[in-house]
Amino acid sequence: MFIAAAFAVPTVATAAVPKTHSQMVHDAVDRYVVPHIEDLQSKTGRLSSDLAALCTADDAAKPAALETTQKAFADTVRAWAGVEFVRFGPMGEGGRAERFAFWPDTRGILFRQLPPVLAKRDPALLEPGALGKQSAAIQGLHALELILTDDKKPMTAGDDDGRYRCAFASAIGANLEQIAKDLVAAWEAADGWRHRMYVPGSDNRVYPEPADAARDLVRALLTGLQLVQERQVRPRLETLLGVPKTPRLPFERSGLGIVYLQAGVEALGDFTDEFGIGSYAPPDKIWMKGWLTRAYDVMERDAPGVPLKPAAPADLTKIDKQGPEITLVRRMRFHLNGLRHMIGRELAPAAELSIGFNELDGD
Amino acid sequence: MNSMAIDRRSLLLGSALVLCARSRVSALGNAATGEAALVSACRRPDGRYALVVLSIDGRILKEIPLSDRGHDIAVDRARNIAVAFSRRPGTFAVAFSPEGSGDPTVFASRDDRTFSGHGVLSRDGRTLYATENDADTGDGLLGVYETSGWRRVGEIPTHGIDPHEVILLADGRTLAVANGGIEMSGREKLNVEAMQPSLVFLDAVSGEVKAQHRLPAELNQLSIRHIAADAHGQVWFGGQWEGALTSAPELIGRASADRPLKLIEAPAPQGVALKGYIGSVAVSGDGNVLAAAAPRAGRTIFIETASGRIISEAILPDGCGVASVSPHDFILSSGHGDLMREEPGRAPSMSAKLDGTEFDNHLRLVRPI
Repeated sequence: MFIAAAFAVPTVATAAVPKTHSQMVHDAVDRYVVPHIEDLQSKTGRLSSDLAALCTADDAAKPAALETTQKAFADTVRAWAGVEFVRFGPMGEGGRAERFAFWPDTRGILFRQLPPVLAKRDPALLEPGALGKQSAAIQGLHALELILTDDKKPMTAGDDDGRYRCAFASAIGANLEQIAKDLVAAWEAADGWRHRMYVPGSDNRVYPEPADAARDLVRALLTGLQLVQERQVRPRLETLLGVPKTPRLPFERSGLGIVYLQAGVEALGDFTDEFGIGSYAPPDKIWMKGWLTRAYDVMERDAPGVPLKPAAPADLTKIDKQGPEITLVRRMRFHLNGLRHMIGRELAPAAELSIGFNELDGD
Repeated sequence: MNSMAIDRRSLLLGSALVLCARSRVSALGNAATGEAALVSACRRPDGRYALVVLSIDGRILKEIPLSDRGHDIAVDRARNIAVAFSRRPGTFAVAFSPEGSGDPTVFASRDDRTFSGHGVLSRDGRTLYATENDADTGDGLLGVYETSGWRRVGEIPTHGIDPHEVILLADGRTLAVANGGIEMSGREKLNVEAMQPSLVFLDAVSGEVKAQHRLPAELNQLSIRHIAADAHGQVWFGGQWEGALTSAPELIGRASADRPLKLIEAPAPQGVALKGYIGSVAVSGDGNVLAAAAPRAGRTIFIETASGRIISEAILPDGCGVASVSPHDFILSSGHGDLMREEPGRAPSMSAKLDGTEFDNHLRLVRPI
């Protein structure tokens, strides 16, 4: 949230005149996307340094170094929530998003692949750049989370196993930093993605028109709302309602699930503000501008009260469907659905930036 | 069949009954009118997923609610049978009569298999082949089902991972399968650097590999996903590029059992302009024109199958569904609810719009014009 404050601009509620497509692109990219990608680079840099320091710390210093590393991990999770929905362009190349955070892992690939890799202790995987060529499941945030939170085989142990785990975690940190650096470079290079979005034209094969670039940003926003809904809100609600076999929640193991949820909601609100799509509310639906702002505000307020790991009801016949937890999660679902509907079906068409069903999430 | 699978099938039977009850009240018209008809999965204005049987001018003749998003539909027009598949990684399929009023039948994937969204019926109508993934190993398979009771009776390896579309070739015996080549966990991609897409030709009875073609190493991130056969014995494919968009190669190509994969050679490169993504392909009734829909670019490309030359294009935002409806023309559908009849090179002869309905990736003809 402090990043948005640093780049404070007119909010959805106060933007009187709709921005042009070109303005929307410039504001969203310069005031949101690029600063947040840079923030990710900064946070992963710190995480990488802290992990390296942890691995070389003596036994007495390890508890403090571990605590510092865990804080850096939490900061990286927050920073990731700020950019993970910007999946077009550099993020979509070479599976960067999946490599940074492989989620959801419905086949449990992480649990299948990581333990044997750690048990084998192959030094070649610790070489610079080596991990980035491995399976996405073992080179990103969720693999690091698993190592950081493994109490049975702690990475701070002084034996060979502990040392390898720490070195492997450190390799993940370096890999995350490298992915973030590559993202920054790909966005900010003279002929990079920012330039590509700013200079539409007949010689720009990706974005011939300003609307093409703006449409990618609408798609990112809708994708972000869907990611929060499908990966964090819906599983919680289904668990509370007694639906069997609900998927695992992200960052459940480290206890950062709510931090991640809140950061994601804040990020989407900030992005919506910068993008300025709320100013396209039709004259007969001007209330939409205020609704957008309120929806994000309510979600930000509600997020800390959402259960980190909701418990399934012991008795399906006695579910209190008006209970406080269910009410909170339902309200978040309502707002996310409302935002997706309003942005996708009302504001984007009004801005001549309609996104189709298939192009949003094809197969 | 293990006990877990039986338990799950029993569970889904309950869903099927609910679905059937809902489909009766949702049938908006009599589909048995003899008029030409199409079928597509879609999202309806209330946000729910459904299958719709449509007249070519866009009237909904029949609607079947789905519990989740659908994808493609295998059609046996002679026997009035259709099977819709849930979107990958899917766990249900729905068999129904496009023109009848009978209840649909829902059947489930095995517990350790997931549907990939596509399938094809055998020429005699007795067997369904559905692309599936082994949930444990990720291996690609064709699930083999008896259509008499929709019982799974076997499976055939596709000799690759991430199989997507399967088609039956003109000999009625050879199956062509597009192995997308991406290792997945759910819809998340595990290692796009190591992708191994392929187009494989299989004997439908023995499962024997008749041929398997791969792209050169520098094109290994072109996932082969949608295929259609032309009148010249060639199988055309539409790919999806997983590398940097700015380096996207041509996305469309062809092969046959005895000829390797070959991408089209366009005068102006098309890969980037098509946003690296082909969502569906179809060949005209006379087998001489391929339509390849690129929904992210809002363009559908028409290619002469004999020469591989691009002959025209249609502009339809989010156009993805494409069905051959006569020797020469196609109907295109879009995620904005549009239907457009298009004969390559001519102005659209018909268009209709279903406000609020979003057509999913694929459109199929269930009763010819």
